[in-house]
Formats: sequence, structure tokens, C-alpha cells
Amino acid sequence: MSRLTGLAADVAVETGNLSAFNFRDMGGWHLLTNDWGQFLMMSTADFERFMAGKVEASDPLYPELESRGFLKARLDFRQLAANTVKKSSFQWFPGPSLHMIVVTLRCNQKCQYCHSSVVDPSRTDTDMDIATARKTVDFIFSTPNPTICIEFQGGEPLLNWPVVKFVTEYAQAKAKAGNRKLLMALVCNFTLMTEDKLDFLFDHHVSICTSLDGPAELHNKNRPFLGGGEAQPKVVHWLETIQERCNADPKKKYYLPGALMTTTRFSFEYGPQIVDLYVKLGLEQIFLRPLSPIGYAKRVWKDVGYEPDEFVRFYEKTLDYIIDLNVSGKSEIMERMALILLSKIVKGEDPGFMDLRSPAGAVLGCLAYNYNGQIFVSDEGRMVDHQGDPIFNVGDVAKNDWTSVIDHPTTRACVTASTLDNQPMCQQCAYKPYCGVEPVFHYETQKSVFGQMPTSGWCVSHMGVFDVIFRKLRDPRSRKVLDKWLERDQCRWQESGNVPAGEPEVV
Amino acid sequence: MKMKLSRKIYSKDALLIAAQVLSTKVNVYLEESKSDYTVTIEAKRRDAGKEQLEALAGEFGNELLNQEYRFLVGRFNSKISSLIVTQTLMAARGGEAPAAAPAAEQTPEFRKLVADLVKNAEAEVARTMPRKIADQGTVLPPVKEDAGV
Repeated sequence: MSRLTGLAADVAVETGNLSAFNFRDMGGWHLLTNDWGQFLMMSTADFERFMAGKVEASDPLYPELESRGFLKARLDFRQLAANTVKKSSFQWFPGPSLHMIVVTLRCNQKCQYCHSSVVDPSRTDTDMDIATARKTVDFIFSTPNPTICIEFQGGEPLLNWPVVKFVTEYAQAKAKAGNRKLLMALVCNFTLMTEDKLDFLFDHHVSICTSLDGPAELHNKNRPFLGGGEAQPKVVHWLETIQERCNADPKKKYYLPGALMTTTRFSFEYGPQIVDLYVKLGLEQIFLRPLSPIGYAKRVWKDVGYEPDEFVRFYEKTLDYIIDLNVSGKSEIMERMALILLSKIVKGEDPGFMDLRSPAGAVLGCLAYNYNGQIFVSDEGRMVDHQGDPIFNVGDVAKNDWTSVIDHPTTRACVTASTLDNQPMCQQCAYKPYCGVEPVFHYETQKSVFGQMPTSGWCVSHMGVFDVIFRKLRDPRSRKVLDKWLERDQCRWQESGNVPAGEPEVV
Repeated sequence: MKMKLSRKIYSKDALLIAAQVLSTKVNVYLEESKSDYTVTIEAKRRDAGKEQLEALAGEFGNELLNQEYRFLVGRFNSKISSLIVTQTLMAARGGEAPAAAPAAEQTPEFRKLVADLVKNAEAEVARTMPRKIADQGTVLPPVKEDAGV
């Protein structure tokens, strides 16, 4: 069933001065958006006057409609085109900037949902070797984007530490020789962190991110050690240690560790406790992310998964709690998904989040490299290969060059399928200017890279989250908090000079 | 289960794509007359009852509509979507041929630096890492259709 909203049967329509736009009935008010990324929220009575062509030039609503490109006879094409370029700047990017290297599939944890479909620590055959690591870095530097972000993933990347070190040093030497901007990031579970490793990471400006699903009982249930035992205290210990070291040295201020949570069915009871833990640990942001039924998670979906609208309810409830903390002055913690959407909606900028682009970030914005040198359109595409389906493999660092990857038929299929103007339902949706679809998700869940939006879990959860965010934007109390978040986020990037808008969201 | 579909409303392309999308769940047989297509749907699961078969036929109908709608949208938006896809792919390509490695990478100093990095890394692997075992393959067994997704 389509979740789009239609016009009430008795609404008069006078199309004479209406430019192209999409709308959504939000219950008592209407949201209007257009392909230039502009939006307007108005009462249903105003919306009906607008549709009937009854908003005159003297009407207070007129200048709003005019400046945002909703009146056909009053379009400022120069300004609207500038807005479009700003909002979709990635369409002009010279190739991917985010390169995810899986240095091993081995892991010492056995997470309930592990997307990466890890293998036992004894499986050293899944470690990347030095020769492959070198070819992988060479391939990455053969892609044309002047900014390169290398993100180490796994498995648990610290289990193949020599390769993490080699890639870091070799990539930094190449970046210096070629005058390329290089960002490095490590996503690890922290349980194998040591002071020596931390020294190396700080010395080489590698930003660090870990997984923290919440209080000990939840985290340990979601992310148990292979042989049993509690992982959460180790994560908390290293988060605190790294923060102490960052706070003690102003130069390290911008390498404050990040944490990511994955929402399982078990998380639903813990919303406020998860947020409280993040606040207690001094983390600046929390990212309320849904679980995707891809890779191993698909196999255990009955145990840990949920309906997309259950996630939306959890998201709204937890976001409300976070906003309340901000309003009461108890914390300034920000929610990352809200920030990503607000950058798109309010600032009209692309925050570099690969999943919500049209076309999607697969190949265009990111590539994933398996331990054996195989190249995939994204990390999710690599997980599909792990299940025996190599459909998203677009090359090999030992055999292929960049042009063969970008010209690969799979790349073209992903780009075409994720262009929202090709998507039934999306092209009529009010969230089209800010949304995106993910070909790997739809291939995994609906057996087609195009997917079927009326029945797509992706669409239900994203449409639901957009509904939540626009409702918050309409509410003055929440709006004040959200505006403050945007201001703070902007300052953070400006001060650090680290990752400006438009560059990859490293998660 | 049989369905009769008007040729005036549905295209053969959409029928074939819908059948392909659902090919892991159903076998679809297609016959055509001057005015209609007759679609026969069989569940691949041998234990599927009438209710499951009806649900699968419904899924097939949804996918068929989705494909027809996609063709319609594709035709309607072909200019803008072709422009976006071409622009994005051409920009990402970054030119006709890959750029040559920078001159600074051709110097003896850089080559020595890289040779040292490789040597040190290989020595660290030999010193600190467990012995590498022969490739065992990593593909997981097939996922069951009723995984609940």
C-alpha cells in the first residue's frame, strides 16, 4: 500500500501558478517540497488556498512561496539552481572518497546481528596480507577524488594490526607524495585495544569509533564474546581512557572517540538508559540506527529483528527523551540521524551520508575492499558476497583499474536503480529531495536492486523518521533544540577543519 | 493458480521482470492470446497451501504493478534521470584515463621508504601474527526463505 497522501476530494485545484512540487498531509498541516530542496510547512487551510490559486501577492504567505520556488511565474532560476547544486553537490564529485578496508574477517565477538558475518579467530586465511594491502592502497590512490578517507573495518581490525599499521603509513606516504587530503578512521570493538596501539593511532591522526549498544546487560546480550564474558566494561574503559587523553591535549581534541549503537529488538526497552550512558560517558552524539536484514542479520531476523514501524516508534520516543534532556539543560547530546536529515532539509547541504543520496553512494561515494582484494560497491555488497552471491563485486585490486570499476555494469545498475526520478512512489514523495534508496538493501530484501517501495522496509522506516523530524521542526520547543544542534555541528567542523560538509560520513 | 491479464494494460516485459524478481519463491508460466496473458503461478515450496499460494499471487501482482509503474516513471522522467545518471557517472570517472602516479612516487627516496615499510610490516606479521592457514572459503550456507525478513 502506498504511504503517500493524496488531496482531499473537495479541494479545488487551479494549476495556473503552481510550480512542480510534492506534498504530504501531516494531519492538520501540510508539508510542501520541491526538487530544489526547498520546503514549506503550512496549515491545511493555507494549503487549500494555495492549491485553489487564492494566495494573492499581498498575502503574507506569498513571499515564502515565491522565494522557495512554489510559484511558477516567480521562479528565480539562478538561486534555485544554486540551491540544487549545493544540495546535490555529490553529483559533481570525482569518484569515491570513502574507502572501507576489511583487513580481516576474524573477530573475538559473536554479535547477534553481525552484518559482517565474521569468522572464528583461528581463521587466519581471512587476514589481508601485506601485498594485497599495498595493492589496495595503490588502487585507492588511483581513484580521482582529491580527498581520501580510509576506514578500517572487519571482522575486528585490531586482530590484523600489522596491516592496519602498514596501510596507515603507506597511505600517508602516498598522500604526501601526491598532495592528496587523507583522513583515516578505525572502527573496532575496543576489546583488543592497548596503550601502544592507541599511541600509534594518535600519532598518525587516525580517528577511532566503536560500537556501544547501551547498558551492560543489553550490550553484552547483543555483542557477546566468542567464549563468553562481558565486553561492555572494556568498551567503557577504553572510551573513558581515550577521552581523558584527548581532553588532556588540545591537539587531540578533534579525535574524541565516537560510538555507534545498533538497534535490535532488545534495545526497545532501553531507550533512555542507552542515552543516559552516552551522556555519562561524555559522548557528543548518539546515532539511533536501525538494523538491516543483510548478511548474518537476515539469518537471525526472527530473533533480533523487528518491523520498520517499531523502529520508528523507538526512534521518536528516544529522540523525544534526548530533546527533553537538551531543553532541561541536563545534556547537550545530539542525535546523528536527525543532524544528517536537518543538514539536508534546513541547510540544504549534503552531509556526506552515502545511504541517503540520489543516486546512492555505492561506488560513486564509497567502495569496500575485502581481505582478498575484491572490490564491492559498498560494505553491504561485500556481505551479500559472503552469502555466496557475488553480484555486487565490481573488481579486484590486483586485476582492475578505476575506469573498469566505474564502467562496470553493476555500478551502472546501482546508479540507475538508486536515482529517485526512476523510482515509482519516490518521485511523488515529499521526502524525495532529501532521501535515497539503497540497491543492496532492496536486492537482499526484495530480490531487485530497484525494490518495491510500497512494501519496502527501507521506505517505511525512512519515511517514518522523516515524519518525526518534520513534526519536530514544526514544534517551536523542539525546533529551538534542533537549530542549536545545527549551529554546534557547523562550528565543530569549522573549528577542526577536518571533515567539511560534503565529505564522507565516517561511521 | 491462474490469472488472466489484459494485454492492453500489462506488458510482456513487466510480466517477465516480475517473474524473475519472484523466481526464488514461485515458478511462473506464461501463455498469450490476442487479447490476454494467462499466468500460471506455482509455489516452489511443496508444502504451500491455498492461502500461501494466494499470498504469492498477490506478491506477483504487486511486483507486476511496480514494474509497469517503473516503466511509466522511466518514460516520464527519462530526460532528467538520464542527465543525473550521466552527469554523476562522468564526474565520478574523473576523465578518460586514470591519472599517472605522481612524480614524487618515482623517486629513489620514495621507493626506499615503501620498501622499508613493506619489510617492517612483513617482519611484524612474522613476529606477532598466528601462522596463516590455507584458504578455507568463507561463504555461509544458504539462508532459509522463511527467515522472517
